[in-house]
Amino acid sequence: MTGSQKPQTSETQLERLLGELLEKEGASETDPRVDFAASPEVAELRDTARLLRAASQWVPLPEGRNAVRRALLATAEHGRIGIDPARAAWRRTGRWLGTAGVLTVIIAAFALGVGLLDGLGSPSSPLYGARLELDAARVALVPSALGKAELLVRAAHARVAEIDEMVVSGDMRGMQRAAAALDGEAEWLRQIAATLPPADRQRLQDAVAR
Amino acid sequence: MGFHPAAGNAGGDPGVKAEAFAALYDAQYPRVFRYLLGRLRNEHTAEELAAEVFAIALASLQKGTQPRQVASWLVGIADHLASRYWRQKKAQEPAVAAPERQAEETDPEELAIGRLESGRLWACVDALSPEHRQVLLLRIVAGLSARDVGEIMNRTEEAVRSMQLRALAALRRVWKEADVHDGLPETPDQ
Repeated sequence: MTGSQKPQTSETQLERLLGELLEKEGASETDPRVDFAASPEVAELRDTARLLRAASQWVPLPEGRNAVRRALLATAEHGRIGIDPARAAWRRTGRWLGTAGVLTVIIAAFALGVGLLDGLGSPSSPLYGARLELDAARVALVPSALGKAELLVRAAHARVAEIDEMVVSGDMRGMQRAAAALDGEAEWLRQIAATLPPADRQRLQDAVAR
Repeated sequence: MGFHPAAGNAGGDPGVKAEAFAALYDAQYPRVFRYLLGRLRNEHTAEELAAEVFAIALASLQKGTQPRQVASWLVGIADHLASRYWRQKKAQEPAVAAPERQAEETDPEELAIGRLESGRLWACVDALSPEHRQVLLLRIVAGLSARDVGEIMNRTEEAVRSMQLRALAALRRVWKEADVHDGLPETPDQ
């Protein structure tokens, strides 16, 4: 004990040992200049902590972790209001969804499944772009490849219905937007389908055909 | 470690810079996930709640929040969501097998624990009182400082140090008893 005049209690000894144990995660607040010898009892507790720490070094699956990352970063970009003049205009008029609202919708959509966002915007609406972003985020947040693919199939059916609707109403720009969205989602679906086992792929093909 | 969401943004952009949030996410996701998996013992639920933690964090940062210590802030959100999860499930926190997720191969010394031993250890953790379990998860699994654990648990730093000593002693005792009986602990510590 060189840096302190106070005797080391068991609690401070343990805290120092835990600081050393957790140091590589930047959680230590102990003073590394102080050296001391811990009692055997405290050292035993440190060993117990080390055991618990070793038993909790779980690795998140990259698929889920990266999907969430992608969705959140898209949302972060989405929330940078002020870059896009059109978005700024929406914000000024109070009609643009706030970031917290967008996230709430994403989370709720993730929890509740398909259908919640369907009324958000048709291809002729200025909100259609936001609706597509939310659809993409919802797909990205689903952990399993088959779950993603099923959502994309349902989204593709929705895009086809939107194209029909735009043709009937004579909105060619809306039709182009829906068609472009369909292209993007179909490509995404193709990539995901390529990773599925044959049985799941067949189920998916049946769903597409319906 | 504080976090300044718009740091480096050009032109007064008020939003959260995506690159800064990506760095935060990459650095903190494993910690948040580990804590949630320790609380929930279900990897899918842990993944879903981890996503929700970062979604809430992003929304909060977008509104101008500047957390003093980002790790404890995120784990605090995770702690709240995990508690809400168990309240909604109207269930006690788990007395089930340990998660089967593979250990991270970063420290050979820490890998000296097999899956079976890990399962027994988590069963011992489940035998602790809720407060002891929480302090160990926050301090050892999430790797927060005693001060940050105190903020989450609404305790002083000294109280956390005292509690973690008692919690580790209790875990050690239950672990040894389980070892003697070569099985799982049968009775809660408190």
